[in-house]
Amino acid sequence: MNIDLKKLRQLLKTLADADVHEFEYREGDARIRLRRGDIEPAVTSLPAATLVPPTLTGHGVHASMAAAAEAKAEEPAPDANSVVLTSPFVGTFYGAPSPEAPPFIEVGSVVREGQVLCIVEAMKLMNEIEADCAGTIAEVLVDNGKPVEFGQPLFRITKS
Amino acid sequence: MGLEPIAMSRQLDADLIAAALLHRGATLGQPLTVLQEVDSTNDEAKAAARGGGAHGALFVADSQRSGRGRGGKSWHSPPGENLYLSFLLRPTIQPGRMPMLSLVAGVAVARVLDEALSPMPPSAHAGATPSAESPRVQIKWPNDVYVNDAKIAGVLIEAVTRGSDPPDIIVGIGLNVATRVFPPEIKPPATSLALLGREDLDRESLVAAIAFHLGEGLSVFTADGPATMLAELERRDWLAGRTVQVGEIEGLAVGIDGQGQLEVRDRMGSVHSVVSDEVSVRDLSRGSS
Repeated sequence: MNIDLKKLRQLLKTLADADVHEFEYREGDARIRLRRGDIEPAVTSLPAATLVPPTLTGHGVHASMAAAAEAKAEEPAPDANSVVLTSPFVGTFYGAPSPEAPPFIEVGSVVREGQVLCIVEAMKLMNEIEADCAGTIAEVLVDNGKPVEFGQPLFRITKS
Repeated sequence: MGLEPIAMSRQLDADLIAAALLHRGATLGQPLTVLQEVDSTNDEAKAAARGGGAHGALFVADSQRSGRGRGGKSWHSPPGENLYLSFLLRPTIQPGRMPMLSLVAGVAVARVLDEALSPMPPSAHAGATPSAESPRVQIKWPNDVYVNDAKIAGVLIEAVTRGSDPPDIIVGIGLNVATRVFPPEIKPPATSLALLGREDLDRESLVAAIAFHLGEGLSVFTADGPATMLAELERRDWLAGRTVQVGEIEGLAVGIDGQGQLEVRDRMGSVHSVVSDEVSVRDLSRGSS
């Protein structure tokens, strides 16, 4: 079975964008099964190329690995003066306490240590992420209501 | 030891709750704070968390001005009738497993209702299957508790994470005890212990029963992992076999996976694992949500 890596990556991206968590495709003996879900933190540092085994028959491919690897690639370069806050688990990102409420923060907001920046929700557990330092929001890296992976960067704060 | 009928007290009695917690041997519930009216018990627990409150601290209120559920939806919280309580927890668990506490809490409340609604003597309850005559207590994933297709209890878990510090987790529970008439706009249909024939149960011993079962569930989950809880959740799965809509996905709810995520099989046969978002039931012939 020949795999077109470019097409596979495109497929992974399409599935991630559509928030599809599991996908299976069979053709003859060949089978591709993609699943996004809870992943081990160590996996996120794998380069994208290692995500595709030589043959896909009978193997699971975790789209979340690709998504996390992609997220890792987009992570801003380390900077002594800035801090990147990441998601503690797989869930949904909310930038405001309720659909009608204004966002907790925006780019340029000056935040103090302990200020709530967002909620990540999974299974009706609403996890408030607080700033662990005072500073200014340099980047908001996720859109409201979008799924997030374990360890995915959410914000970059420039320390004050 | 179980729920014991005592005459309904109009206001929550802190001394009776403390005595009932001791009687049950609950591992959660200390220190105990009983309040008449609050915005929400979760807010009280959160404020305590900021002040370094202890693991197991319990906040119970007679009524809530702004009780809420998922996405800030309000929770009907009139005075003197029902239970609104929140626990502050600081369990030692991996952050990735934190959302499963939401399921642990729902299962604990379901066990309290098994006790309350089962005709079996309370001593027979430990791990027992309710008898055929008792109403079936089910859970609509992730943690709404249903009896006879009507919602009787809800759980809202909030957590606060700052840097690498252990998170503060607040488990808020609303249980309908004595309310007999609910506002008609409430969806899904609601029920209460009184409507199910247990108007004799006092709220104080129900608080202790919740503290006991949540403490037990939490110990098993932190020591042995989620397998026991997930097996029980599967037996109580109210959504199984119903057609559901979750975000853009429509399909058949086929179970709950090893991560505690809801599995939905769409028309093409693909199974989607759902980690968040509101689940609405499309199959009206089998009840709505």
